[in-house]
Amino acid sequence: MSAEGVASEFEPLEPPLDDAVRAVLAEPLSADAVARVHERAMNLDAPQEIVHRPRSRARRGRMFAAYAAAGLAALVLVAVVLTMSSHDAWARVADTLRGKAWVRLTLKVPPGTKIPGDLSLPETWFSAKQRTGARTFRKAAGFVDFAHQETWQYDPQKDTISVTSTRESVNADFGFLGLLLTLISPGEAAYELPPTTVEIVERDRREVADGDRRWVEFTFACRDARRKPADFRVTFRVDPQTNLPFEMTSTEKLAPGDPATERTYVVDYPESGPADIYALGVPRTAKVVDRRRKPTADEPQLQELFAAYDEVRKEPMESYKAVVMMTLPGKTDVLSAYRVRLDAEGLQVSAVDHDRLLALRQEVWSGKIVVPQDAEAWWKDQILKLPLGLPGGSDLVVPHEASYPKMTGGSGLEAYVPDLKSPDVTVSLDKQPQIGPAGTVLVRVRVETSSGFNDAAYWIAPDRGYQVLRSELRSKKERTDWDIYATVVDEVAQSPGGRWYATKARLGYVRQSGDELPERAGEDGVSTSVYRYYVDFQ
Amino acid sequence: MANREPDWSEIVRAHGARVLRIAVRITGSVHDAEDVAQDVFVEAYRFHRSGPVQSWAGLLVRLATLRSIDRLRRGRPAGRLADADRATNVGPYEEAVGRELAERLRGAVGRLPDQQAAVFTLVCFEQLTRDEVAASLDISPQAVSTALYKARQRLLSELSVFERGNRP
Repeated sequence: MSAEGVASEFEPLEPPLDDAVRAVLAEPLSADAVARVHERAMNLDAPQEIVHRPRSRARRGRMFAAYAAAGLAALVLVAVVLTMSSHDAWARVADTLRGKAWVRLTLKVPPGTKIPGDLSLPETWFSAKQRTGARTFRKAAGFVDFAHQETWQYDPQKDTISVTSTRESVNADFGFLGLLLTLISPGEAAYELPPTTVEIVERDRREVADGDRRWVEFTFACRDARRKPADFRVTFRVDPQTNLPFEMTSTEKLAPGDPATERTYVVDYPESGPADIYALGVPRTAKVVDRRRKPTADEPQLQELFAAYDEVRKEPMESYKAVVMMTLPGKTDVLSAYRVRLDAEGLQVSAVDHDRLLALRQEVWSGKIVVPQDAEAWWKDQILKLPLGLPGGSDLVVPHEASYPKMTGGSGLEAYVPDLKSPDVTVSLDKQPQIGPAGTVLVRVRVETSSGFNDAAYWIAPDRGYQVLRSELRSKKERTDWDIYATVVDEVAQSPGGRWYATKARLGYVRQSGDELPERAGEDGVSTSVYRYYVDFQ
Repeated sequence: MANREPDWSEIVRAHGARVLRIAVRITGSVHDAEDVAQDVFVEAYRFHRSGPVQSWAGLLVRLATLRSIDRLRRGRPAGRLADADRATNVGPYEEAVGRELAERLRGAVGRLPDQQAAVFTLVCFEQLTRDEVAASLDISPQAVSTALYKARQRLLSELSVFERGNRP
């Protein structure tokens, strides 16, 4: 920094400031994060911005996904009507819809809204007769053939069609339909959808008049555990003469505290509809990638292993208090420290006040305080005396969670193990690995992402509570040196009740899978952090 | 030939990474940086729809810097750089000490007056020249020098505890 760059124009920075700026500049920027920003920004130039849909930071900008999901929800909710019990007031509407060749929903925008020439409004199609559905959004398209269990999705940026099995969890949006089919119309179970997270919590029917015009409104209050907020509502306006919906409105909050957002779709009933994805404007030259999973021989054993892992990690732990200290290899200086408490009120994690810890360290560095021979015990005592700073800390600072990490490739926020049904996830099992801690089995996971892949490896010790004693992560498009992020749990113990927890862990970077973590701080520009956990059961 | 106003996708492609980079360096959090980038692009999108913009680079750099400083002041970052968002091994210096230094610096930058914070981050994090900073922030080159001098004095005094000789 001081030697190049701005140095020619400005005075070089002084050492501590220079070091700090260098540290900031050394922090990398991943291609994944850039891709996410591009996706979010690109989607501002889409119809939802034209209709002034409120944005939400909590949505993490997944505007396309939100819209696509809305399209799928629309498709699903037509199916709600189609699959309602005959005892329900909806039965007549459902019967009428079932008899239509096609049902089409098209996003409604305010009159006079200028739509760019190369954009068409989002559409959703459904045919109960043909057991097919489709959607379009900008140049993207999706086509679902329930009868043949095929979901076709076109990515215009990659000019690629991916084909998955409809029942696979990657198509979990259809889980909504699955729940309804199971609960309301078991005879329709042939749709074979993945498990749903959506439930109908309330339904309502009312008659509405506006001048001479009359209609019936059917409203479904829905809850989807995967959404935040989970609640949303869908209202159909139905012509009482024909029993056909002519408009559908979805109402949802895109983030807690946001105002509710409404999207209205015009419903009509064309005589013909898309026969396949190409009928939605997808070029026939697009590359087709068949991503349907083919079960491997390892799968039953992996299922067993993951089930055991999930069960053991959920086992309760006795109340305890712990001090956690982070140091560098071969050093006693404590860079950061945490106090952890688990009791009837739950888990509480707080970092020790950083300024006070730093002041203490400075006194040690300057020689004002001489650390006794048993440095660990001394630091532990000191840390117990220091005030707490900000609450929170990663799983790695929690003794009983450090050796039970959330593995990559899980489906959903609460999943701790890879989703074996996802076409994006490839998992293999090595029961006698040549590298890694003794007495472990090795699980390797590759997760395909839009911009590359994430590789992970977990060495699991079945005879020590299925703890992960070593894990490695690599998130790369191309290989560079020291690009494997490794966590090694060196020492573990059991609580009085038999629950396993970590007492020492190290993390840092290695060159090759299975390599030892560097022992010297700063070796080749990388450092290993050492965590020590001092647990006292109450 | 008259200059064509670039379409939105060109603007995003050309400047997206830079906006994110500025935000990550100032906030120290990929999550916060992505939110800042989204806010910046929404703001810029309004400009885009309201008429031609003289310098997209200047506008976006300015917005990214100022919004990131706002976010930095609002509080603790939403999360450290996630492992999955680490593109390479961290740090030309000891990782942990480097992280500590970086966080200290960010805290100190957040306590600077707006103009000093913006000038310092654009010069030192984004390595812009005096004239580029002046153009981005719509101030004179002399004001850039003055703000940078003041920012450095103040940051230096806050970071003096990290003099190399004071470290283990």
